[in-house]
Amino acid sequence: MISVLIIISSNLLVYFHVRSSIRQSQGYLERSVNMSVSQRREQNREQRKKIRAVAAQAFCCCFGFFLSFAPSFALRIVEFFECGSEKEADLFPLLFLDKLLFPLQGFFNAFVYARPAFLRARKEFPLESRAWALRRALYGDRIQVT
Amino acid sequence: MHGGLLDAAIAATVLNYPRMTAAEEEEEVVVCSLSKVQDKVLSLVPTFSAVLSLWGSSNIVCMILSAKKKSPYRRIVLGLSCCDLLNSFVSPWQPLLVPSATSHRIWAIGNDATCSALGFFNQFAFSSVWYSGSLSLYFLLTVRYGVPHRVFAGKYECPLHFMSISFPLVTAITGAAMGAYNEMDVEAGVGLPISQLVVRTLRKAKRNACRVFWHGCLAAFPL
Repeated sequence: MISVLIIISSNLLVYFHVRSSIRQSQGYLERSVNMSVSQRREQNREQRKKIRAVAAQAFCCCFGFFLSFAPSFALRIVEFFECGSEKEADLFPLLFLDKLLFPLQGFFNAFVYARPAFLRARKEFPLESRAWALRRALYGDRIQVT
Repeated sequence: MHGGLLDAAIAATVLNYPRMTAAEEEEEVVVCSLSKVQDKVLSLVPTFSAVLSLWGSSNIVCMILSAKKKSPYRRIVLGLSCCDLLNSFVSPWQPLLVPSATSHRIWAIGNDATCSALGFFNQFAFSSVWYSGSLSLYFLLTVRYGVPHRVFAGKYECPLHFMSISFPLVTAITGAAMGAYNEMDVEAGVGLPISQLVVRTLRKAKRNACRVFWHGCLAAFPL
């Protein structure tokens, strides 16, 4: 419960910080007189991109966690409302999702962890397929360019 | 400091765990309403998920261990993946290792000892939840408060690893030492009865007071 609260509050704070940082950077760059319009635009774009990349990674970590724990969370709430074994058949879809998603956290984490490398591979080798980029992200330079 | 207080609180909670009377135990014995096919599906599905998760977690572990660059983020993800490996390894055994004498699971072949062992690993596997919390805290401190990686590694990382491992380990050992693991009400699995205790206490409270959603949320995760 403590961890869940930390995860929710941390990600909300990160989200609000990213939003305000983007707004601040926009205002700062618009006010700066030493730069040309194109320079301002370029710097603004780069800065936004970096902040968004970190925030997206944080969001993906959080999303993977909640995807795997949401059915379990829901089951405990249902259990609280006096749903015992005699009502398991009614809860079969929820039980199925719980059994399917709860052990999958490692699988989701693999994609979240490999995501930055996947995006880099897509940028560096635009002609390669997504599947190739994913293999490259997971197994590194061992995957040769086709 | 926190760990000591929490351990004492857990010990007190477990020691004060209200034993059920014979009548209450009779009430607890219910017939499972799942069909055989549904029961088999619920027993097999975790195996499929666990294999995928084992693949994912082992990939992360290999990637981090083989990478030259080390950072707090990578070390936290490494800890998270190790806990996920344990979780993935334990999950498929849940429907099998519950006590065959009392469980209504179709393929239950276990006994009280296997149930306790399963409960221990199940509880300890919740360290992955703690590691997810640590990861969120890492993002919060580095993104929101601009804490440099070097400072994070020196000041915050060790306590986070310590808490992520020690708290689930202590609760798992406490549950096993008290012989307190048993099959849970709804889910086809084994859980530490601290969460069940919370559920039961809140059920009693609910009869006297209005239903509060937050109580359900409190009971939703193991303490």
